[in-house]
Amino acid sequence: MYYLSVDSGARYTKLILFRNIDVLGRKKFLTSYSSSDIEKHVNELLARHGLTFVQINQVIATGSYPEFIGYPNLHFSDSKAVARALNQINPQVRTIIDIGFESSRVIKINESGHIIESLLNERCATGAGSFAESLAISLNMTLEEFSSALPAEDKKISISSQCVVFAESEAISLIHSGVDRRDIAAAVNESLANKTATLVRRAGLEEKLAIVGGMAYNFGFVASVKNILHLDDIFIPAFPEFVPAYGAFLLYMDGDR
Amino acid sequence: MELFYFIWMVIADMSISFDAFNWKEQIFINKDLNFRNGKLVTCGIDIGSVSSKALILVDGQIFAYSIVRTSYNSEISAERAFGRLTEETGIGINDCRYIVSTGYGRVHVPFANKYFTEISCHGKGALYAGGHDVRTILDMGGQDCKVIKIDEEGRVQNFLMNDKCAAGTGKGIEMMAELLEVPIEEMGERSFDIIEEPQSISNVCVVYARFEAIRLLKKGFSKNMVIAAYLKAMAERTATLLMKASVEPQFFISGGISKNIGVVKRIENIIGISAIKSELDSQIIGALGASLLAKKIYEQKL
Repeated sequence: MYYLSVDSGARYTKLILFRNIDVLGRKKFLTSYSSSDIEKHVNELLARHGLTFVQINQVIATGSYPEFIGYPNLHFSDSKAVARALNQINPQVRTIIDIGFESSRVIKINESGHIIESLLNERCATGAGSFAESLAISLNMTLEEFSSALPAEDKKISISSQCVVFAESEAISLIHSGVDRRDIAAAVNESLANKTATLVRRAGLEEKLAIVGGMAYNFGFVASVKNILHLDDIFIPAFPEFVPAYGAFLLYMDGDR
Repeated sequence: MELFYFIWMVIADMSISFDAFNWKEQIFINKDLNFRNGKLVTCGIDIGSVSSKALILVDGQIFAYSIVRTSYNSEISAERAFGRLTEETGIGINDCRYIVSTGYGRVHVPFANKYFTEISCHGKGALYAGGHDVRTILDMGGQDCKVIKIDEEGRVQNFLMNDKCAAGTGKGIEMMAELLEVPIEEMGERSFDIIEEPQSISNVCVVYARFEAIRLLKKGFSKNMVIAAYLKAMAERTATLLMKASVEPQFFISGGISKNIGVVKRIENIIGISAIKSELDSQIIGALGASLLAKKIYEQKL
Protein backbone atom coordinates (compact mmCIF):
# COMPACT_ATOMS: atom_id res chain seq x y z
CA MET A 1 0.00 0.00 0.00
CA TYR A 2 1.29 3.44 -0.92
CA TYR A 3 0.24 6.69 0.67
CA LEU A 4 1.01 10.30 -0.09
CA SER A 5 0.77 12.98 2.58
CA VAL A 6 0.63 16.61 1.43
CA ASP A 7 1.13 19.58 3.75
CA SER A 8 0.28 22.75 1.89
CA GLY A 9 1.73 25.70 3.76
CA ALA A 10 1.83 29.40 3.03
CA ARG A 11 5.45 29.23 1.84
CA TYR A 12 6.37 25.60 1.19
CA THR A 13 4.44 22.50 0.30
CA LYS A 14 5.80 19.32 1.84
CA LEU A 15 5.25 15.82 0.49
CA ILE A 16 5.93 12.48 2.17
CA LEU A 17 5.56 9.21 0.30
CA PHE A 18 4.86 6.11 2.43
CA ARG A 19 4.99 2.40 1.69
CA ASN A 20 2.82 0.79 4.34
CA ILE A 21 4.06 2.57 7.46
CA ASP A 22 7.55 3.42 6.23
CA VAL A 23 8.70 6.71 4.76
CA LEU A 24 9.91 6.18 1.19
CA GLY A 25 10.74 9.76 0.28
CA ARG A 26 10.21 13.44 1.02
CA LYS A 27 9.98 16.54 -1.12
CA LYS A 28 9.65 20.21 -0.30
CA PHE A 29 8.94 23.01 -2.79
CA LEU A 30 7.66 26.59 -2.90
CA THR A 31 3.88 26.63 -2.67
CA SER A 32 2.68 27.85 -6.03
CA TYR A 33 -1.03 28.10 -5.29
CA SER A 34 -1.86 26.00 -8.32
CA SER A 35 -2.77 22.33 -8.40
CA SER A 36 -0.95 21.66 -11.70
CA ASP A 37 2.33 22.63 -10.10
CA ILE A 38 1.76 20.28 -7.17
CA GLU A 39 1.07 17.52 -9.68
CA LYS A 40 4.46 18.11 -11.32
CA HIS A 41 6.30 17.76 -7.98
CA VAL A 42 4.25 14.73 -6.93
CA ASN A 43 5.06 12.97 -10.20
CA GLU A 44 8.75 13.75 -9.75
CA LEU A 45 8.74 12.27 -6.25
CA LEU A 46 6.85 9.17 -7.43
CA ALA A 47 9.14 8.67 -10.43
CA ARG A 48 12.16 8.71 -8.12
CA HIS A 49 10.73 5.57 -6.50
CA GLY A 50 9.52 4.00 -9.74
CA LEU A 51 5.85 4.68 -8.99
CA THR A 52 2.96 6.35 -10.79
CA PHE A 53 0.03 8.15 -9.26
CA VAL A 54 -2.48 5.31 -9.88
CA GLN A 55 -0.52 3.18 -7.40
CA ILE A 56 -1.23 5.60 -4.57
CA ASN A 57 -3.97 4.18 -2.37
CA GLN A 58 -4.78 7.38 -0.50
CA VAL A 59 -3.81 11.05 -0.51
CA ILE A 60 -3.76 12.57 2.95
CA ALA A 61 -3.66 16.33 3.41
CA THR A 62 -3.04 19.01 6.02
CA GLY A 63 -1.97 22.65 6.06
CA SER A 64 -3.61 26.00 5.46
CA TYR A 65 -4.23 25.84 1.72
CA PRO A 66 -6.03 22.55 0.96
CA GLU A 67 -7.80 24.20 -2.01
CA PHE A 68 -4.56 24.11 -4.02
CA ILE A 69 -3.91 20.39 -3.57
CA GLY A 70 -6.18 19.29 -6.41
CA TYR A 71 -6.29 15.57 -5.64
CA PRO A 72 -9.24 14.09 -3.77
CA ASN A 73 -7.88 13.80 -0.25
CA LEU A 74 -8.61 13.30 3.42
CA HIS A 75 -7.79 16.49 5.28
CA PHE A 76 -6.61 16.67 8.90
CA SER A 77 -6.14 19.74 11.08
CA ASP A 78 -2.48 20.73 11.29
CA SER A 79 -2.37 21.16 15.08
CA LYS A 80 -3.81 17.68 15.59
CA ALA A 81 -1.27 16.33 13.11
CA VAL A 82 1.65 18.06 14.84
CA ALA A 83 0.52 16.78 18.25
CA ARG A 84 0.10 13.22 16.99
CA ALA A 85 3.50 13.17 15.25
CA LEU A 86 5.45 14.56 18.20
CA ASN A 87 3.84 12.07 20.55
CA GLN A 88 5.03 9.30 18.25
CA ILE A 89 8.55 10.67 17.72
CA ASN A 90 9.26 11.69 21.33
CA PRO A 91 6.59 10.78 23.92
CA GLN A 92 8.19 13.08 26.52
CA VAL A 93 7.23 16.22 24.61
CA ARG A 94 4.52 18.32 26.32
CA THR A 95 4.87 21.74 24.67
CA ILE A 96 5.33 22.33 20.94
CA ILE A 97 6.30 25.51 19.14
CA ASP A 98 5.10 25.34 15.55
CA ILE A 99 6.13 28.31 13.44
CA GLY A 100 4.80 28.63 9.94
CA PHE A 101 5.40 31.28 7.35
CA GLU A 102 2.42 33.43 8.29
CA SER A 103 1.47 32.32 11.78
CA SER A 104 2.97 30.94 14.96
CA ARG A 105 1.41 28.53 17.35
CA VAL A 106 2.09 26.88 20.70
CA ILE A 107 0.46 23.52 21.36
CA LYS A 108 0.35 21.72 24.71
CA ILE A 109 -0.23 17.99 24.70
CA ASN A 110 -0.67 15.30 27.33
CA GLU A 111 1.14 11.95 27.54
CA SER A 112 -1.22 10.37 25.01
CA GLY A 113 -0.70 13.12 22.45
CA HIS A 114 -4.05 14.86 22.91
CA ILE A 115 -4.15 18.64 22.66
CA ILE A 116 -4.75 20.35 26.01
CA GLU A 117 -4.26 23.87 24.75
CA SER A 118 -3.41 25.54 21.48
CA LEU A 119 -2.54 29.24 21.18
CA LEU A 120 -2.32 30.71 17.72
CA ASN A 121 -1.08 34.05 16.54
CA GLU A 122 -2.59 34.61 13.13
CA ARG A 123 -3.43 38.27 13.54
CA CYS A 124 -0.30 39.30 11.70
CA ALA A 125 3.08 38.01 10.56
CA THR A 126 4.96 39.14 13.67
CA GLY A 127 6.89 36.23 15.12
CA ALA A 128 6.32 34.06 12.04
CA GLY A 129 8.74 32.65 9.47
CA SER A 130 8.13 35.47 7.01
CA PHE A 131 9.56 37.87 9.60
CA ALA A 132 12.88 36.01 9.55
CA GLU A 133 12.89 35.63 5.79
CA SER A 134 12.09 39.29 5.06
CA LEU A 135 14.77 40.47 7.45
CA ALA A 136 17.37 38.09 5.99
CA ILE A 137 16.61 39.60 2.59
CA SER A 138 16.88 43.16 3.96
CA LEU A 139 20.23 42.26 5.50
CA ASN A 140 21.34 40.69 2.23
CA MET A 141 22.14 37.40 3.98
CA THR A 142 21.35 33.84 2.98
CA LEU A 143 19.03 32.00 5.36
CA GLU A 144 22.05 29.92 6.45
CA GLU A 145 24.10 32.99 7.37
CA PHE A 146 21.09 34.54 9.04
CA SER A 147 20.32 31.40 11.07
CA SER A 148 23.84 31.08 12.36
CA ALA A 149 23.65 34.50 14.05
CA LEU A 150 23.72 33.43 17.68
CA PRO A 151 22.70 35.75 20.54
CA ALA A 152 25.66 37.88 21.63
CA GLU A 153 27.00 37.79 25.21
CA ASP A 154 27.21 41.57 25.35
CA LYS A 155 23.95 42.56 23.77
CA LYS A 156 24.45 45.81 21.88
CA ILE A 157 21.30 46.33 19.89
CA SER A 158 17.70 45.19 19.75
CA ILE A 159 14.91 45.33 17.19
CA SER A 160 11.81 46.91 18.70
CA SER A 161 9.31 46.90 15.82
CA GLN A 162 6.53 44.35 15.99
CA CYS A 163 5.71 44.86 12.33
CA VAL A 164 7.78 43.04 9.69
CA VAL A 165 7.73 46.05 7.39
CA PHE A 166 8.90 48.45 10.10
CA ALA A 167 11.51 46.01 11.37
CA GLU A 168 12.97 46.01 7.85
CA SER A 169 13.37 49.80 7.99
CA GLU A 170 14.84 49.50 11.47
CA ALA A 171 17.39 46.95 10.25
CA ILE A 172 18.33 49.12 7.29
CA SER A 173 18.96 52.18 9.46
CA LEU A 174 21.09 50.00 11.76
CA ILE A 175 23.18 48.95 8.74
CA HIS A 176 23.59 52.61 7.78
CA SER A 177 24.76 53.49 11.28
CA GLY A 178 27.51 50.91 10.92
CA VAL A 179 26.24 47.96 12.95
CA ASP A 180 27.53 44.54 11.85
CA ARG A 181 24.88 42.61 9.93
CA ARG A 182 25.44 39.52 12.07
CA ASP A 183 24.63 41.51 15.20
CA ILE A 184 21.44 42.77 13.58
CA ALA A 185 20.50 39.21 12.56
CA ALA A 186 21.11 38.04 16.13
CA ALA A 187 18.86 40.84 17.39
CA VAL A 188 16.13 39.80 14.95
CA ASN A 189 16.38 36.19 16.10
CA GLU A 190 16.15 37.34 19.69
CA SER A 191 13.12 39.49 18.97
CA LEU A 192 11.44 36.50 17.30
CA ALA A 193 12.34 34.32 20.27
CA ASN A 194 10.85 36.88 22.65
CA LYS A 195 7.52 36.82 20.82
CA THR A 196 7.51 33.04 20.82
CA ALA A 197 8.46 32.89 24.50
CA THR A 198 5.53 35.15 25.36
CA LEU A 199 3.17 32.73 23.64
CA VAL A 200 4.81 29.77 25.44
CA ARG A 201 4.47 31.45 28.85
CA ARG A 202 0.82 32.20 28.16
CA ALA A 203 0.19 28.55 27.42
CA GLY A 204 2.35 27.54 30.41
CA LEU A 205 5.68 25.92 29.73
CA GLU A 206 5.91 22.23 30.46
CA GLU A 207 8.99 20.27 29.47
CA LYS A 208 9.97 18.77 27.17
CA LEU A 209 9.71 21.61 24.66
CA ALA A 210 9.87 20.85 20.93
CA ILE A 211 10.22 23.16 17.95
CA VAL A 212 8.84 22.13 14.56
CA GLY A 213 8.61 23.91 11.21
CA GLY A 214 11.38 25.51 9.21
CA MET A 215 12.35 27.86 12.04
CA ALA A 216 13.80 24.85 13.87
CA TYR A 217 16.74 25.17 11.44
CA ASN A 218 17.39 28.70 12.70
CA PHE A 219 20.10 28.08 15.34
CA GLY A 220 20.12 31.71 16.44
CA PHE A 221 16.41 31.57 17.12
CA VAL A 222 16.55 28.20 18.91
CA ALA A 223 19.46 29.35 21.09
CA SER A 224 17.59 32.54 22.00
CA VAL A 225 14.46 30.60 22.96
CA LYS A 226 16.63 28.37 25.14
CA ASN A 227 18.16 31.42 26.86
CA ILE A 228 14.93 33.28 27.38
CA LEU A 229 13.03 30.29 28.78
CA HIS A 230 16.09 29.06 30.78
CA LEU A 231 16.00 25.61 29.20
CA ASP A 232 18.88 23.14 29.02
CA ASP A 233 17.51 21.33 26.04
CA ILE A 234 14.98 21.71 23.26
CA PHE A 235 13.83 18.74 21.22
CA ILE A 236 14.08 19.16 17.46
CA PRO A 237 12.90 16.26 15.29
CA ALA A 238 15.02 15.08 12.37
CA PHE A 239 12.81 16.62 9.70
CA PRO A 240 11.14 19.49 11.54
CA GLU A 241 9.29 20.90 8.54
CA PHE A 242 7.79 17.51 7.61
CA VAL A 243 6.19 16.92 11.02
CA PRO A 244 2.60 17.97 10.07
CA ALA A 245 2.61 15.76 6.93
CA TYR A 246 3.90 12.85 9.01
CA GLY A 247 1.30 13.47 11.72
CA ALA A 248 -1.56 13.61 9.23
CA PHE A 249 -0.50 10.18 7.95
CA LEU A 250 -0.44 8.80 11.53
CA LEU A 251 -3.94 10.21 12.15
CA TYR A 252 -5.14 8.53 8.98
CA MET A 253 -3.64 5.21 10.08
CA ASP A 254 -5.33 5.60 13.47
CA GLY A 255 -8.61 5.88 11.63
CA ASP A 256 -9.08 9.28 13.25
CA ARG A 257 -11.25 11.54 11.11
CA MET B 1 0.29 32.36 -16.80
CA GLU B 2 3.82 33.27 -17.84
CA LEU B 3 3.43 36.67 -16.25
CA PHE B 4 2.15 35.24 -12.97
CA TYR B 5 4.98 32.80 -12.87
CA PHE B 6 7.34 35.68 -13.43
CA ILE B 7 5.81 37.68 -10.57
CA TRP B 8 6.04 34.65 -8.37
CA MET B 9 9.71 34.20 -9.17
CA VAL B 10 10.35 37.84 -8.37
CA ILE B 11 8.78 37.37 -4.97
CA ALA B 12 10.59 34.11 -4.47
CA ASP B 13 13.97 35.65 -5.16
CA MET B 14 13.11 39.08 -3.83
CA SER B 15 15.37 40.40 -6.56
CA ILE B 16 12.97 43.26 -7.08
CA SER B 17 14.24 45.65 -9.71
CA PHE B 18 11.20 47.90 -9.82
CA ASP B 19 11.50 50.89 -7.57
CA ALA B 20 8.25 52.12 -6.08
CA PHE B 21 10.12 54.76 -4.12
CA ASN B 22 10.69 56.52 -7.40
CA TRP B 23 8.09 59.26 -6.89
CA LYS B 24 8.94 62.75 -8.10
CA GLU B 25 10.47 65.22 -5.69
CA GLN B 26 8.73 68.58 -5.80
CA ILE B 27 9.47 72.24 -5.42
CA PHE B 28 7.10 75.21 -5.41
CA ILE B 29 8.00 78.90 -5.53
CA ASN B 30 5.47 81.72 -5.23
CA LYS B 31 6.81 84.18 -7.80
CA ASP B 32 4.62 87.01 -6.45
CA LEU B 33 6.52 87.08 -3.19
CA ASN B 34 10.13 87.94 -2.38
CA PHE B 35 11.56 86.89 0.95
CA ARG B 36 13.93 89.87 0.91
CA ASN B 37 11.02 92.31 1.14
CA GLY B 38 9.23 90.35 3.88
CA LYS B 39 9.09 91.59 7.48
CA LEU B 40 9.02 88.18 9.06
CA VAL B 41 10.41 85.06 7.37
CA THR B 42 9.87 81.76 9.20
CA CYS B 43 10.53 78.17 8.23
CA GLY B 44 8.97 74.79 8.96
CA ILE B 45 10.87 71.53 8.44
CA ASP B 46 8.97 68.24 8.52
CA ILE B 47 11.16 65.13 8.47
CA GLY B 48 8.80 62.24 7.78
CA SER B 49 9.72 58.58 7.49
CA VAL B 50 9.46 58.69 3.68
CA SER B 51 9.52 62.35 2.62
CA SER B 52 11.12 65.49 4.08
CA LYS B 53 9.51 68.87 3.59
CA ALA B 54 10.82 72.43 4.02
CA LEU B 55 8.44 75.38 3.81
CA ILE B 56 9.14 79.13 3.97
CA LEU B 57 6.48 81.49 5.22
CA VAL B 58 6.84 85.19 4.43
CA ASP B 59 4.54 87.34 6.59
CA GLY B 60 2.10 84.46 6.96
CA GLN B 61 2.02 83.56 3.25
CA ILE B 62 3.59 80.52 1.63
CA PHE B 63 6.67 81.62 -0.30
CA ALA B 64 8.24 78.31 -1.19
CA TYR B 65 8.35 74.64 -0.30
CA SER B 66 10.19 71.48 -1.26
CA ILE B 67 9.34 67.80 -0.90
CA VAL B 68 12.33 65.44 -1.09
CA ARG B 69 12.98 61.84 -0.18
CA THR B 70 14.08 61.15 3.38
CA SER B 71 17.47 59.47 3.44
CA TYR B 72 18.62 57.23 6.27
CA ASN B 73 19.87 60.29 8.11
CA SER B 74 17.45 63.01 9.33
CA GLU B 75 20.15 65.66 9.40
CA ILE B 76 21.09 65.16 5.76
CA SER B 77 17.40 65.02 4.79
CA ALA B 78 16.72 68.37 6.49
CA GLU B 79 19.71 69.95 4.79
CA ARG B 80 18.66 68.60 1.41
CA ALA B 81 15.07 69.84 1.75
CA PHE B 82 16.24 73.33 2.72
CA GLY B 83 19.10 73.22 0.20
CA ARG B 84 16.64 72.77 -2.68
CA LEU B 85 15.02 76.08 -1.68
CA THR B 86 18.41 77.80 -1.48
CA GLU B 87 19.22 76.60 -4.99
CA GLU B 88 15.97 77.95 -6.41
CA THR B 89 15.55 81.20 -4.49
CA GLY B 90 18.87 82.00 -2.84
CA ILE B 91 17.35 81.93 0.64
CA GLY B 92 19.73 80.97 3.43
CA ILE B 93 19.16 79.68 6.95
CA ASN B 94 20.14 83.06 8.34
CA ASP B 95 17.31 84.72 6.41
CA CYS B 96 14.79 82.83 8.56
CA ARG B 97 14.01 84.45 11.86
CA TYR B 98 12.72 81.30 13.44
CA ILE B 99 12.76 77.65 12.37
CA VAL B 100 10.53 74.91 13.80
CA SER B 101 11.06 71.24 13.01
CA THR B 102 8.53 68.43 13.24
CA GLY B 103 7.96 64.85 12.08
CA TYR B 104 9.66 61.69 13.24
CA GLY B 105 13.16 63.10 12.63
CA ARG B 106 12.41 66.46 14.28
CA VAL B 107 15.03 66.25 17.02
CA HIS B 108 17.81 65.76 14.48
CA VAL B 109 17.38 69.01 12.55
CA PRO B 110 20.55 70.91 13.48
CA PHE B 111 19.41 74.37 12.38
CA ALA B 112 15.94 74.34 14.01
CA ASN B 113 15.27 76.70 16.95
CA LYS B 114 12.61 74.46 18.44
CA TYR B 115 10.72 71.28 17.64
CA PHE B 116 7.10 70.24 18.05
CA THR B 117 5.28 66.95 17.51
CA GLU B 118 3.61 66.52 14.14
CA ILE B 119 0.29 66.28 15.96
CA SER B 120 0.33 69.95 16.98
CA CYS B 121 1.77 71.02 13.63
CA HIS B 122 -0.89 69.21 11.59
CA GLY B 123 -3.54 70.92 13.72
CA LYS B 124 -2.23 74.39 12.87
CA GLY B 125 -1.53 73.54 9.24
CA ALA B 126 -4.96 72.01 8.61
CA LEU B 127 -6.75 75.11 9.99
CA TYR B 128 -4.76 77.27 7.58
CA ALA B 129 -5.29 74.97 4.58
CA GLY B 130 -8.83 73.74 5.19
CA GLY B 131 -10.38 76.76 6.88
CA HIS B 132 -11.33 77.50 10.46
CA ASP B 133 -14.12 74.92 10.62
CA VAL B 134 -11.77 71.92 10.47
CA ARG B 135 -12.24 69.77 13.59
CA THR B 136 -10.97 66.32 12.59
CA ILE B 137 -7.71 65.68 10.75
CA LEU B 138 -6.67 62.39 9.26
CA ASP B 139 -2.90 62.34 8.75
CA MET B 140 -1.82 59.41 6.62
CA GLY B 141 1.93 59.18 6.52
CA GLY B 142 4.64 56.80 5.41
CA GLN B 143 4.81 54.78 8.62
CA ASP B 144 1.80 55.75 10.69
CA CYS B 145 -1.76 56.94 10.54
CA LYS B 146 -3.30 59.43 12.97
CA VAL B 147 -6.70 60.91 13.65
CA ILE B 148 -6.35 64.29 15.37
CA LYS B 149 -9.26 66.25 16.83
CA ILE B 150 -8.73 69.98 17.30
CA ASP B 151 -10.65 72.98 18.61
CA GLU B 152 -11.19 76.29 16.81
CA GLU B 153 -7.68 77.46 17.80
CA GLY B 154 -6.04 74.35 16.39
CA ARG B 155 -5.30 73.00 19.87
CA VAL B 156 -5.25 69.20 20.04
CA GLN B 157 -8.25 67.79 21.91
CA ASN B 158 -7.69 64.12 21.30
CA PHE B 159 -5.83 61.82 18.96
CA LEU B 160 -5.71 58.17 17.93
CA MET B 161 -2.78 56.60 16.19
CA ASN B 162 -1.61 53.40 14.54
CA ASP B 163 2.18 53.30 14.47
CA LYS B 164 2.63 49.65 15.38
CA CYS B 165 1.94 48.13 12.03
CA ALA B 166 2.39 49.00 8.36
CA ALA B 167 -1.17 48.10 7.34
CA GLY B 168 -2.91 51.34 6.44
CA THR B 169 0.28 53.36 5.95
CA GLY B 170 2.32 54.55 2.97
CA LYS B 171 4.78 51.68 3.45
CA GLY B 172 1.95 49.26 2.73
CA ILE B 173 1.09 50.97 -0.56
CA GLU B 174 4.77 51.04 -1.54
CA MET B 175 5.01 47.32 -0.93
CA MET B 176 1.98 46.67 -3.14
CA ALA B 177 3.27 49.05 -5.85
CA GLU B 178 6.54 47.15 -5.86
CA LEU B 179 4.82 43.77 -6.06
CA LEU B 180 2.63 44.86 -8.97
CA GLU B 181 5.29 47.04 -10.60
CA VAL B 182 2.94 49.99 -10.83
CA PRO B 183 4.24 53.54 -10.16
CA ILE B 184 2.94 54.59 -6.77
CA GLU B 185 1.40 57.81 -8.17
CA GLU B 186 -0.81 55.74 -10.52
CA MET B 187 -2.24 53.45 -7.84
CA GLY B 188 -5.25 55.66 -7.03
CA GLU B 189 -6.45 56.22 -10.59
CA ARG B 190 -5.89 52.62 -11.60
CA SER B 191 -7.96 51.34 -8.69
CA PHE B 192 -11.07 52.80 -10.38
CA ASP B 193 -10.26 51.37 -13.82
CA ILE B 194 -12.08 48.12 -13.06
CA ILE B 195 -15.33 46.42 -14.00
CA GLU B 196 -16.64 45.99 -10.48
CA GLU B 197 -15.38 46.75 -7.00
CA PRO B 198 -13.73 43.58 -5.61
CA GLN B 199 -13.88 42.32 -2.04
CA SER B 200 -11.17 43.82 0.12
CA ILE B 201 -8.11 41.75 1.05
CA SER B 202 -6.53 41.41 4.47
CA ASN B 203 -6.47 44.76 6.25
CA VAL B 204 -4.59 43.54 9.30
CA CYS B 205 -1.14 42.71 7.97
CA VAL B 206 0.87 43.81 4.94
CA VAL B 207 2.62 40.43 4.75
CA TYR B 208 -0.74 38.63 4.59
CA ALA B 209 -1.98 41.15 2.03
CA ARG B 210 1.06 40.53 -0.15
CA PHE B 211 0.43 36.80 -0.32
CA GLU B 212 -3.29 37.28 -0.74
CA ALA B 213 -2.52 39.55 -3.70
CA ILE B 214 -0.35 36.85 -5.27
CA ARG B 215 -3.17 34.35 -4.86
CA LEU B 216 -5.60 36.77 -6.51
CA LEU B 217 -3.24 37.26 -9.47
CA LYS B 218 -3.02 33.47 -9.80
CA LYS B 219 -6.81 33.33 -9.87
CA GLY B 220 -6.75 35.69 -12.84
CA PHE B 221 -7.45 39.05 -11.18
CA SER B 222 -6.09 42.03 -13.10
CA LYS B 223 -3.47 44.25 -11.45
CA ASN B 224 -6.04 47.03 -11.18
CA MET B 225 -8.47 44.72 -9.38
CA VAL B 226 -5.76 43.76 -6.90
CA ILE B 227 -4.94 47.44 -6.33
CA ALA B 228 -8.64 48.14 -5.75
CA ALA B 229 -8.89 45.24 -3.28
CA TYR B 230 -5.87 46.52 -1.37
CA LEU B 231 -6.86 50.19 -1.29
CA LYS B 232 -10.35 49.17 -0.19
CA ALA B 233 -8.82 47.25 2.71
CA MET B 234 -6.76 50.31 3.65
CA ALA B 235 -9.81 52.54 3.50
CA GLU B 236 -11.80 50.16 5.72
CA ARG B 237 -9.04 50.10 8.29
CA THR B 238 -8.68 53.89 8.28
CA ALA B 239 -12.44 54.41 8.44
CA THR B 240 -12.56 52.24 11.57
CA LEU B 241 -9.97 54.50 13.21
CA LEU B 242 -11.94 57.59 12.13
CA MET B 243 -15.20 56.26 13.52
CA LYS B 244 -13.52 55.29 16.77
CA ALA B 245 -12.50 58.95 17.09
CA SER B 246 -16.10 59.97 16.15
CA VAL B 247 -15.16 61.89 13.01
CA GLU B 248 -16.90 65.24 12.51
CA PRO B 249 -18.20 66.53 9.14
CA GLN B 250 -15.51 69.22 9.04
CA PHE B 251 -12.84 66.76 8.20
CA PHE B 252 -9.46 67.25 6.52
CA ILE B 253 -6.92 64.74 5.16
CA SER B 254 -3.18 65.41 5.18
CA GLY B 255 -0.03 63.39 4.58
CA GLY B 256 1.30 61.64 1.50
CA ILE B 257 -1.55 59.12 1.14
CA SER B 258 -4.07 61.97 0.89
CA LYS B 259 -2.82 62.28 -2.71
CA ASN B 260 -4.08 58.76 -3.42
CA ILE B 261 -7.62 59.28 -4.69
CA GLY B 262 -8.29 55.54 -4.51
CA VAL B 263 -7.95 55.58 -0.73
CA VAL B 264 -9.57 58.99 -0.11
CA LYS B 265 -12.74 58.31 -2.16
CA ARG B 266 -13.20 54.93 -0.57
CA ILE B 267 -12.84 56.38 2.92
CA GLU B 268 -15.39 59.10 2.06
CA ASN B 269 -17.81 56.43 0.82
CA ILE B 270 -17.54 54.32 3.95
CA ILE B 271 -17.93 57.13 6.50
CA GLY B 272 -20.40 59.09 4.35
CA ILE B 273 -18.52 62.37 4.81
CA SER B 274 -16.58 64.24 2.14
CA ALA B 275 -13.22 65.62 3.12
CA ILE B 276 -12.63 69.38 2.85
CA LYS B 277 -10.80 70.16 -0.37
CA SER B 278 -7.83 72.52 -0.31
CA GLU B 279 -5.80 74.11 -3.08
CA LEU B 280 -2.65 73.43 -1.12
CA ASP B 281 -0.57 70.29 -1.45
CA SER B 282 -1.77 68.10 1.43
CA GLN B 283 1.69 66.61 1.91
CA ILE B 284 3.12 69.89 3.27
CA ILE B 285 0.53 70.44 6.03
CA GLY B 286 2.97 69.44 8.79
CA ALA B 287 5.73 71.75 7.52
CA LEU B 288 3.16 74.51 7.07
CA GLY B 289 1.96 74.11 10.65
CA ALA B 290 5.58 74.17 11.85
CA SER B 291 6.25 77.44 9.99
CA LEU B 292 3.05 78.94 11.44
CA LEU B 293 4.13 77.93 14.94
CA ALA B 294 7.54 79.49 14.24
CA LYS B 295 5.80 82.74 13.28
CA LYS B 296 3.65 82.71 16.41
CA ILE B 297 6.60 82.03 18.72
CA TYR B 298 8.71 84.76 17.14
CA GLU B 299 5.89 87.30 17.41
CA GLN B 300 5.30 86.45 21.07
CA LYS B 301 8.97 86.92 21.79
CA LEU B 302 8.94 90.51 20.46
